[in-house]
Amino acid sequence: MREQFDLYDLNGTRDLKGVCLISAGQYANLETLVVVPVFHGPPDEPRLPIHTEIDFAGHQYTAKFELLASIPAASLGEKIGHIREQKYELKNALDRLIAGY
Amino acid sequence: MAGLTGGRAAKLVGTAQSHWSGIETGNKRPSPGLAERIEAATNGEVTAAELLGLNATVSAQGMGETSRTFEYETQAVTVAVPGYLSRAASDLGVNIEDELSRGGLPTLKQAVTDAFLERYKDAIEGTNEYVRKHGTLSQQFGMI
Repeated sequence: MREQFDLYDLNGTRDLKGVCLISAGQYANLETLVVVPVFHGPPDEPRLPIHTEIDFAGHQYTAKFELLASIPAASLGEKIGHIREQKYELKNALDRLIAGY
Repeated sequence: MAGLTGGRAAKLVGTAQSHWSGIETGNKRPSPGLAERIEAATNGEVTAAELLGLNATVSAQGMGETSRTFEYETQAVTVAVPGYLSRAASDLGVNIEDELSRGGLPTLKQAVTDAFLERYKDAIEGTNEYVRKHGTLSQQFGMI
């Protein structure tokens, strides 16, 4: 069962840790899902307001909302955890992507 | 008046055409409320202060709101700055009072946007460079 803010492997894609599911659980059975890519390492400085620092399994990562994307659900790899504890930071970054500041 | 003329303009700002004509010719002075609506309709090209023949003064209020107040006989005209814009201006080092006095809300918004783009110039370019090099997830998965 997929849930919002689950973290999925993307089968070794690029320099990504994986992707975080942004679509709400009610839409998790659609064949396309909206995800934000999560990169290794902390955000670059100065940090764009749409970059969220992620703490996961003792490491730092960065969710970059300018790269928010719709991808086929079938392309998601294994679920590697979730980052629901940081849902407010993630929602705030999404708001900022829309509102500007 | 800044592209606003005739009956359409009067309707847009919510006044009678005859009253609007008087304002256009300078024979009538708008109420503070109408002056605010004209400022909004002209995106600040014509300011309420100008229409009322006043100098703007600025006062900061609580809760992240900043207002510009015009003294007009016994009434005051208040232009509220949205909290998000006030916070962004403070964060980016934009002087709210100066920008409001210079040209109202449109000038403040432009100053905040300019400051934002300047602060994050390198970060935005870095992001663009990454996408030029790697493309996007949507491209990778054939979604576009």
